[in-house]
Amino acid sequence: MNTVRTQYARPEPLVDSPAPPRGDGGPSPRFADAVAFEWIKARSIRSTWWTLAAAACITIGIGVLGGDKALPADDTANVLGKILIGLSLGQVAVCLFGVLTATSEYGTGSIRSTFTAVPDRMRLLAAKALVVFTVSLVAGTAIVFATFAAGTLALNPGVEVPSLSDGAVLRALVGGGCYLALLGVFSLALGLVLRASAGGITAAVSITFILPTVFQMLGQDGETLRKWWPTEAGQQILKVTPSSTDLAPVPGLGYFAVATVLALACAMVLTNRRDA
Amino acid sequence: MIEARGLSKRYGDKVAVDDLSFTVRPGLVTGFLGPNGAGKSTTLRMIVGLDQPTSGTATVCGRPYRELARPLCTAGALLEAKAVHSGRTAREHLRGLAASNRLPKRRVDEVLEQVGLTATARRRVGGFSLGMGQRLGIAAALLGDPEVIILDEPVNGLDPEGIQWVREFMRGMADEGRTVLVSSHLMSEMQDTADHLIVIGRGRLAADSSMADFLARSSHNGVVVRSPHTARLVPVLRGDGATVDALVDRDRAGEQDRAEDPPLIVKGLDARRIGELAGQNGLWLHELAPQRVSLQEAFMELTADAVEYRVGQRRTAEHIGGAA
Repeated sequence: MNTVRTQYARPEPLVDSPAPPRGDGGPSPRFADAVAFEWIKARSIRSTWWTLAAAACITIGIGVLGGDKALPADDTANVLGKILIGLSLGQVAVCLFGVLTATSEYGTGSIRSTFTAVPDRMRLLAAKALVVFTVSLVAGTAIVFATFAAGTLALNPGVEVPSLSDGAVLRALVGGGCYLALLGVFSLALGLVLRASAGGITAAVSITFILPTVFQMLGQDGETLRKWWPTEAGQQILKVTPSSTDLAPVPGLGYFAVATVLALACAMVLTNRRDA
Repeated sequence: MIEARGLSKRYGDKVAVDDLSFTVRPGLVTGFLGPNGAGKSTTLRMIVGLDQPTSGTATVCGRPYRELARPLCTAGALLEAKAVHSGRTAREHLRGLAASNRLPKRRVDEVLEQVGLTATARRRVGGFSLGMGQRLGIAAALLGDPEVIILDEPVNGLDPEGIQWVREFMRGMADEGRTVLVSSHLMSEMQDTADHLIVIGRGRLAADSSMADFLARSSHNGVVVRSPHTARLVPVLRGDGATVDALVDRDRAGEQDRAEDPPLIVKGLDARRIGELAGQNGLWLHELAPQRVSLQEAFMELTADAVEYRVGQRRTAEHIGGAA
């Protein structure tokens, strides 16, 4: 094909038009501006609120209704464990929040306007991760403490009520909020890698809920897998009396934190290299 | 100013954009034309840093887009209609974008006003019509009062009123000295809007020229002449350097059937000169009509090469297949 090339219609383009100079001169945006951007986006979609509300309803509801009323009076560890049992399901809603924060942007195509507004994708994704972490931390801590408060009130008289003055109990509750915050970021990383809501949600539910259940059916090998499975290791923080076969509570949560940081780093590098 | 230098994009074996070089200048509306699948959107995405070129560079105001300190103040782009989360309001969408580039909140209200969406700013985008979605996209592009405006198929799906609005908007932006690059596969739309054209076909640059020159080079140009003195008129016109042929035109098939003064198509002379020559020689003219070539025709003519090329390639492939 021959290329046609001719001169411009107007010999002198209107570069000296009376329009004021644009673009430069204003303050350069920083990380905090990207965080503000991500926070405005997160709070202005309904899925943020209904996923977090679902996490609260499931966890608190199961804590109140499902607390075993016939526990031995001296088994404090199991009392807290029973109250927080709903977290194993409620955490799935936190996963949805993390996944959807990424995939809803890909699904609607708004990721393109996001990346044209903040072309430094590392900065943008760090801001996104910070917003997801903070929102999940605040919501997660509130959910865990609310579940504890409601669950203890619903206990049968005679059962020894776990006390916040017990260091192990406080560690479990504060740690539970941190676990949910990390889980939100972990799910965000999954969403960024998979870019589709259906895939991201399936992966998150499989990792947090389905696979650990499958491991329990696999005998000794399954036990080893479960011990080193990131979300299962992170959940050790919820135990007042650590089990001898699993990772200890704080190292377990630390192990999950490392896994989360690695997952996020992979997701960021991948997103930075991919076409949007 | 937008500059592309040797811009190429390959997806595996498939070449989407092939060694494109062009400059889009300020103060003009530049139409970016090509058939569907020619690589227009891919090129625009590479310009705004969404897609990484396989080779070559694209710069906006002298810098690669991804290195711009405050991108929304340098270039505003409308790439997809309604590329907004449907549950978000127009206002929240723009507020987020404004925050990301440290733009004051009042800019949000200003651009909403500018595109006529003030009344619907608090409604969720999911309920917007396509035209409102396009307006919201344009509002987002205007947020940083940018020097460069890039619009991908902005009139797709718009009603005539909306098309008129976009057209006037682009004209106004160019008259203010901004660089306006607008892609379209609708030639008729571009004919009335663009000053300059960049045409691509199958990922390659086919034309980079002013609208006037692009139309002028079309073989459809010429002046239709009818005269009862055809036999004497033709040598006169040819003597003055014109090319004269019998007019073959489906629309005029009926006229050609009538034996008396068959219409001629004259190229190389304008209507005034033809009239003067006829008058000087005492020859009557029954019709003297300059043809207005459409961008559509000129475009089809240009891209006909590409279609032939494609057919030729398939034949070669069959030949090779037969040999093996």
